[in-house]
Amino acid sequence: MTGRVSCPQPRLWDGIRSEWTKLRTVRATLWSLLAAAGLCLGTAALVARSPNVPPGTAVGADDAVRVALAGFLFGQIAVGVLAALAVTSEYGSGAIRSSLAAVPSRLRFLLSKAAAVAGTVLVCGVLLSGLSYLVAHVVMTSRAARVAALSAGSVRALLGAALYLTVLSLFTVALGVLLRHSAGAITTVICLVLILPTLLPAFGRTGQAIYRWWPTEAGQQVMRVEPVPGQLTPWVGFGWCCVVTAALLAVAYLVLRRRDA
Amino acid sequence: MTVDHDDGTIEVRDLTKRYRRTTAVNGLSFRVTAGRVTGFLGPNGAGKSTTMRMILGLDHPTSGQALVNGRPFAESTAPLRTVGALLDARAAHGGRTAYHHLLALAESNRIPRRRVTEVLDLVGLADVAGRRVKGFSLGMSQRLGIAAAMLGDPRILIFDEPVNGLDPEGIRWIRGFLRAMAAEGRTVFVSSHLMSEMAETADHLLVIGQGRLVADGSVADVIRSAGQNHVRVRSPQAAELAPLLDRAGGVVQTLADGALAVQELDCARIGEIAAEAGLCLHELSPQRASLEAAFMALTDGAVEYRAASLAGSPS
Repeated sequence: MTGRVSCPQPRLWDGIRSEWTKLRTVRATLWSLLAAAGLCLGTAALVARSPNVPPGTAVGADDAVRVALAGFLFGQIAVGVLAALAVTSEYGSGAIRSSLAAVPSRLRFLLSKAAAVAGTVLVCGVLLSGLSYLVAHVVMTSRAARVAALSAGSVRALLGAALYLTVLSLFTVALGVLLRHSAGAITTVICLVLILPTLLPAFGRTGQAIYRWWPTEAGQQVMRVEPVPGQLTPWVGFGWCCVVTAALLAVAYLVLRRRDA
Repeated sequence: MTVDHDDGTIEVRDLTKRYRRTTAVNGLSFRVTAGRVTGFLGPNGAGKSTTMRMILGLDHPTSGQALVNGRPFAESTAPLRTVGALLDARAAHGGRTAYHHLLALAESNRIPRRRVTEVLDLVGLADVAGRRVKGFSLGMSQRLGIAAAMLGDPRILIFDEPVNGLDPEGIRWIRGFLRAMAAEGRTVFVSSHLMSEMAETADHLLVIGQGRLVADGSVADVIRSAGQNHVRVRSPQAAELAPLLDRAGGVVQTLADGALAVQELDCARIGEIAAEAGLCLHELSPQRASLEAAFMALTDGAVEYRAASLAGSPS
């Protein structure tokens, strides 16, 4: 027998490292993060220059944060694309069979993938919300007399934006596992996050109720500076979004276990 | 009772895979042992790939078991060090470089980074390590798959149709490679739909047709038991000879050129029968079945009958 490669038993951490390597070595990751940055920072800069902020007045901290986070509505789609492709590109290319032959435990595979995607999105989300605030602040101070310091609610909103994007990426990883097709997963995310919630309030009281508990809408409450009347409070909404995401990940795991790769 | 006897055996017990309408694998049982090349032979669609995927825990059997070192592969604690598999040459993300594809696999099993460079050298892809996989020819993809299989220096190798898409040079290389791996004491389980290919490489053959095992033995055994040997007899009095041979227990067929193909009787017996009757013979020659003919005979419609007479295993 030739010299066998001696190496200790792999752990979950090795799976995460491997998934991080997969993420950073395809172009789609960089492009979708650049798109997210462009959408978030660009929108912040544009809104900060809008006539809603009359020159020479004082701007409250809450307004500055609201402006900073205006672009996250669109930026979240780019994050969804990143998370969906992290899973569906494995199915599209057939790489899923190499991956599962190397990591046969479906639980470890899914946890590794979810952790790598969520970790990447969390770090980028914090950077994005911080930079968006900076952009909004710089543009607004160049016009307004004064921009107030951050309040507790606005700090929560800025961090909440990063947290919401992270949970959204996990939600999309689960969708990717369930749907396996890139186009299908991305279209579904756009429908669930952007299109359906805007239609719901039109359907009377039932529509309103569903809208209130719609996971992504609920999750986005954590990035509102002040609680929105009629909507769940920031942390309750975010908690509900986490619960739904955890449930969807559990379903994805069960399907992944039962299904032929 | 999960005893880890790391002896490199693959064992399949009564393995069945049924899809909605078709049965891809039907009550398959066999053992693949270390130190030799075991060829897994069957026509396209016979269930070879499905069986291999079930051994790797990628597909789930409808019933039965597939065990690696005595337990399901999915329970392996160090998968890449246990089994190296080449299932589908295109099983890599096209946008990733060969190096990064292997690196991600290596990291998942805590295999050191230098091993990636080693296996790239081993398969001769070192020069294109930094190129995206989507630009690879089928032969290069095949080599990349082999490199991935060798990452963990595993005791067991499972290769599905490894010569597909390789040029003659590549085919020679893979034959030598598989033989060398077996000589090192590894388990080498390799599928093909080409009998001639297996005759060059394999020590032992498992032949399947329509999802069932139809032969399990050495190459020579398989040809012998395929039972296509006959004696070719040419005689100007063939019409008189044929009934005599038939009466003596031979199975006689008249060939297109007027010669007789006789089974169940050997040359000596036929010669004697002809001499007793005073008939003249122009040709009396034993015909050996070719490998391909044996294979065809094994895997054609008579599969179930052959399974009973050859495999000798309860199925």
